[in-house]
Amino acid sequence: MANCLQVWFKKIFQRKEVHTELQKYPLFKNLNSKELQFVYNCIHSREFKAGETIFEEGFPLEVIYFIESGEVELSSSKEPDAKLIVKDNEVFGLIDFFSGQKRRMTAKAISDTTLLAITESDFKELINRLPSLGTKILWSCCQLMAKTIQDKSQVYY
Amino acid sequence: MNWNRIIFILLLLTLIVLGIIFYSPIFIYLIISIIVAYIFDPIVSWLEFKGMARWIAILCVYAVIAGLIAWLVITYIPRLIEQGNQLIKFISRSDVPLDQAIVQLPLIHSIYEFILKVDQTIPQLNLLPQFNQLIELGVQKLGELPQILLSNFQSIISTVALVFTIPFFSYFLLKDKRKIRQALVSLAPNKYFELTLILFNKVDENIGTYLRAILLEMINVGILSTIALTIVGVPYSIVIGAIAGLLNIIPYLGPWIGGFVAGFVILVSGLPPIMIVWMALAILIVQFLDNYIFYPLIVGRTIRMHPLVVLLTVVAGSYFGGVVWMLISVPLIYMIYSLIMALHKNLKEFRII
Repeated sequence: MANCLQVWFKKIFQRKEVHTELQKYPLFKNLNSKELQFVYNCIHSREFKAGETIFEEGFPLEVIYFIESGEVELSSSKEPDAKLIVKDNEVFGLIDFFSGQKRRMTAKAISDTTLLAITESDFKELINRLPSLGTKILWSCCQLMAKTIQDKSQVYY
Repeated sequence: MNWNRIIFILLLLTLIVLGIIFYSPIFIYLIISIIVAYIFDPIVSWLEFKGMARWIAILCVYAVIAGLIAWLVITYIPRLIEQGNQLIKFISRSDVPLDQAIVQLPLIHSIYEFILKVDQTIPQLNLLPQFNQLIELGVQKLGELPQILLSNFQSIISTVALVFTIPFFSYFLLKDKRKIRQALVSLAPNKYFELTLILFNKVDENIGTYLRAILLEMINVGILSTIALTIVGVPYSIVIGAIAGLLNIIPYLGPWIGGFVAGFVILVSGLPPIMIVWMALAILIVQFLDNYIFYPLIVGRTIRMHPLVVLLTVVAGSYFGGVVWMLISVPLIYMIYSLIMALHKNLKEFRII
């Protein structure tokens, strides 16, 4: 009887392993399921058609995009030749997020694309309110940028 | 634009209008529950980030609030009943008729004597009969009160029922805050997605800070006034302090009305009129402390409007819809103002206009 109750209580209070699909993004790969729940709560999912502009150079920055599926082309008027295509599970808009309030490039969906968006204020709130989550995310950001510096072709994250 | 599309949009608009008509009686309760949700949201979110499930956090907050209300009721209701009984006993004294009993109230009596004096000096005026008529009218209305309560029984019951549904509304608003926001934002087309988010955050932040600031300010002024009035020695200082705190929401005019209430109580309870001066001084000191020390600390920079604009808005609100609009006109106008400013700035930056 007591055993039965214990199992029942465990079932009620145990958190289910949810939103593990978010772990495919490099920024969130170290998070546990409780932290993923917080991240999931502030995600907005958007669908873009092929050829649709996501944002343009010089727009104010409000969200960071994660690509769930599809392809996005990033281009800048400063370097017309250097175009970058980002694909599934990658992030864009991240460097702008740390460097300033304006977009440095134009993003355009090449194929039908599903994007996940997190706003700047939600992102900052998560980092401030949950320091353990913040450390993990910022650590992942550093790793991503270190990789970007090593591989200079990907200057657009 | 083809015909099907036009017909669809027309149908949709009809449905929206019908929906508004259908749901209009509960809008006020919805607004109140939104206000309640905004006030409790920071505590609930804080508890949530500490690792509590959101619904448990909400229930905890509710339990604490219910406890507070219960405590207040248990402490003050007996006193209120006692005072009410005294009043009823006073009114229903059998040896004197009601009108004469009212005339014997200290304040009314002094007015009565004043009018008597005026009538004696200027005989043509004949104010006294009119005054007596006024009192008779008041007594008559007082006698009708139980009748009014009875005949509006149904609407009173439904109002009470709706008041009790407010915590339920607020519960779901608090619990599904993120979902509601996601659903609303998902309605925006891709082109306006980031713009919608920016505006949403702006409005959310403004309403939230303003409501919480008002609440803190109210409690602050209420406590300060209670302390000051107790020191001066005004009777019922807690009730008057609470009223003064509540009225403090109305910018500029509120403290005056609170002062009048206190002065009225002093006159009615037959204290020496010099008390009014001390009371006014006490309220002045409270207002001074509030305006120059506590307001900048609590409210800080939530609202930046010119005092003249605020005053005009309050007055216009009172003409438009009475006390309720006096209370909500300033935040409403401020919100619309800041929304338009943000909209203008961002529409330009997103190159939409």
